[in-house]
Formats: sequence, C-alpha cells, structure tokens
Amino acid sequence: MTQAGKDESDDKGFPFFVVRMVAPSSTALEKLTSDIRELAQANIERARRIFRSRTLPLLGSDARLFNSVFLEPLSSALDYAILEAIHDEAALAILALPPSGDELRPNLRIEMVHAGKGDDCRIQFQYAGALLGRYWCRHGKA
Amino acid sequence: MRSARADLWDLNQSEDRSSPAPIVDVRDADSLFRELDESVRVRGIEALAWYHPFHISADKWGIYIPITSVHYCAARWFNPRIRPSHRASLALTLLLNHEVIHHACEYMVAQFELLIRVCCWVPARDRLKKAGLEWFNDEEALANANSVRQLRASAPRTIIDGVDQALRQSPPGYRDFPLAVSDEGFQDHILEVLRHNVGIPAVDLQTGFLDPSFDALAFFPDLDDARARCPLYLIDDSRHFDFPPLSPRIINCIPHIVETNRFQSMFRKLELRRQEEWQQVKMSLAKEVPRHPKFKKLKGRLKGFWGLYLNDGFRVHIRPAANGIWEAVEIGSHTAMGHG
Repeated sequence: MTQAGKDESDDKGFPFFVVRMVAPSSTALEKLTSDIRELAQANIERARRIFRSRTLPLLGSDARLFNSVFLEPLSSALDYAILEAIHDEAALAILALPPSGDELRPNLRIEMVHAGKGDDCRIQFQYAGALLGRYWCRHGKA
Repeated sequence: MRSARADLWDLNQSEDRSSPAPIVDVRDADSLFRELDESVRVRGIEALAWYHPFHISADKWGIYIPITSVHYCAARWFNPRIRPSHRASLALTLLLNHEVIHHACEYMVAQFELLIRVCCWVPARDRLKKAGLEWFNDEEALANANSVRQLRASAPRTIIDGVDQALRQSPPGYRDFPLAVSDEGFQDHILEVLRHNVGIPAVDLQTGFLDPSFDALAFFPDLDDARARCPLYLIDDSRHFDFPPLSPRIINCIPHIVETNRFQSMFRKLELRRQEEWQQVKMSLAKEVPRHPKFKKLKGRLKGFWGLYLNDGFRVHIRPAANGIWEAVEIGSHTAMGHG
C-alpha cells in the first residue's frame, strides 16, 4: 500500500472532543440570596443555550461533541453569560471558577471527558467516521 | 380522507347518527380511552397522531390523525363545558400543530442535505436507534411547545392550562416542552434538532456549521407554509363507538358558491377585468382549491372565513354554508376590505 493509500485508510473523519459544561453547582446556588439566585439561574440557562449552540448532541449521554481544541473562547463566553448583571461581590465569589493550581491547565467552564478512569487522563474523542458509520463519506468520495 | 394540504379542513358536529359501520370494535369508548391514556403516558402524542416522513415514502408521507384521537383529546384535555364541536376542533388543531413540527424539521434537514449533498436524516434516525432511543427529546418538546404556543394565540388561559397539565404527564422529551415555549427556547430547540440531524456531517465537511455567524434558522420553514404543503390524512375510525358524530371535511375543491347581496354590491363596483377574474377563479375552484398562500383560513376577527387571493392585492372572503355550499361574502382590494 502506498503512503497516500495508507493515509486514506487511516482517515476516520473529523475528531470531536467529548465535553461537558461546568455550571455552578446547586449547592453554590443555594448560598445566593433569592433574587440573585433567580438571576443566576436565568444566566445559567442562557449559558447552557450558548454551550448547546456551539456543540453537538451526543446521543445517550449528557456530554456533547466539540469541534475545536481551543476551549478558552467558549469558556469565556459561558463565564460572561453566567456572571452577567451580577455585581454583588459575595455572589460573584460563589459563582466564579476557583483559581487553577496549574498554569498550563486553567479552570474552564468546559471540561473534557476522559476516556479512562482514575489517573488515566486520556481525552475522549469521537470520530465523524465512527459516529456516522456506513453513512460516512468524505468530499468527493463515497 | 386525504388532503394535499394540512390547513384545509373543517370540523362540525354531524346530525347523521345512522348507518352504523359493519365492523364493530369490541371495545367501548371508555376502554378505548383507558388504553389511550396508557399509550399517551408511554409514547406521548405520537400514540394519537403521527407524521410519516417523505424520506421514507414519496406518496404516503404526511400527517395521519384518527378521528378517535380527536374524540380522546376533546374529552380528556378540554373542559366538558366547551361545545363538543369546538372541543373537537381545538383537539384536531392541537394534534396538527404537534405533527407539523415533525414535517418542518424534516423539511429543514432536507434543505441542508441538498446544500451539503450528504444524506443526514436517515443516519440521524439510525443513530437514535443505536443509542436505544425512540425519539429525539428536543424535537418532541418542540412539537408540544408549538401546540401550546399556537393555542396561546387563540384560546383563553383556562383552556391552555388544561392542555399544559395534560402534556406534562407525557414521557421525557414530550413533557419538557415548557423549555421550548418562549421564542428563545423555541429557536434553541429548532437548532438542536438541526444539530442532531446535520451537525456531524456538516462539521466533518468543514462548512462552518457551529460558527456563531452561521444562520441555521433560515432553513426552518414558515409553519403556515409547512402546514399548507403537508398532506393530511384523517382516518375515520370512530363510527364503531358511541361518540357525538363529527363531520370532518377536507377541502379539496369548492364546486358550489353562492354570492351574498353584499358581495354582489361590491362586485358590481369592480372593473370588468376583475369581474372576469372572479368568474375564472370560481370555475377553477370547482376543480381544486389554489395552493397556499392563494387560499387560506383566516384568523382573528375574520375567524370562520377563508381568504381567496386574486391578482393585484384583490381578495374574496368566503365561508362554508349548509349542504356543502359556500358563500362569497366580500370582494375588494386589500384596503377596501378593511386591512392596512
């Protein structure tokens, strides 16, 4: 088999990352005053819609498919949506992401789902080829 | 009973209690309703009516509604103090408004399939089956939300609350409709259906599908248009039961029109070419009704009337009278008829 032929057969389609949105927990929301909690809940719902709009559903799972390795822009958009119009410092501290202990891995509003358990940090991918099965075809070739 | 358009129907109480059907269902109405209670609890509105997709059948696609389902909804979901024929009409409209969403979603996906030249709808259906799911939750929530939204536009609060409560007893997906009732939620659910169906192939082909600037809502059809282009099948399976008789009518043609005095007075004032146009339209109505939006059911203060649109903004208001005869009530330009 030629190199080109090998590359072609290795093609599995677009790789999607499996991701989840990290929203403030219900315990955190309980700590807010009722008016701010209501606002935060509406904000979280809006952030969820933004998250849905930029990712694809993964059937049978609460995780979703994301098409980029760059999580920060979407994470910032979600953070902005969640904290929008909340000016109370105590509330902001409750809703804000905790500071990261690792400079290389900042805390984000999105987390990548791992393939394994425990210390196995491999990231879970889903390829378009596998997701579409026999219906998968590339530009110009069936 | 088939109509090429799901918006051309009429439902009245019938006087005809004669001619029982030769086959008698072994169930009575109560046991049928109990069976349907359980089916609706398990399968949602799809236990009462269903949409058969054009991806599966080129000549049998459309919305299917058994008349027993109309009786069921009318009895279970609406206040018994409402006139039976009005309840039946509300029930049929509610079922139609749910099913038309399935047509609109399929149409939207088909538009995208034509654009990217990749089969999307069937693979998405297969992925659902593979995941052990019978339906896509967001699509069913969207469909139920459409029924509620449309009802909100015309019915009082008490009626809407009754339907709302009934739909909340449905299975997951169906009962999640409150999230899709607002404009924002409705659009979000439409887009989620699109993402489910076309998202993977579209991203795989690098179409920019998930870019915030991509206007995917443009692929979703206007719902009045969708209703007017989707065939409707009303299945008359109610004659074995002791239901108040209904006379569902599909309007495929209008062979008999009488002109009221008011119409004739307005007609005489029109130019000759407009008068000739009406004569021609009358002849063509005897064969078939025009396509949407040339002929449609009117709403608001013109409820009960149908609008027939002529050239140059002229229109005729007609309405069904007794014995299959229709009345032409008004004719004139858009402004002369009190609009704009």
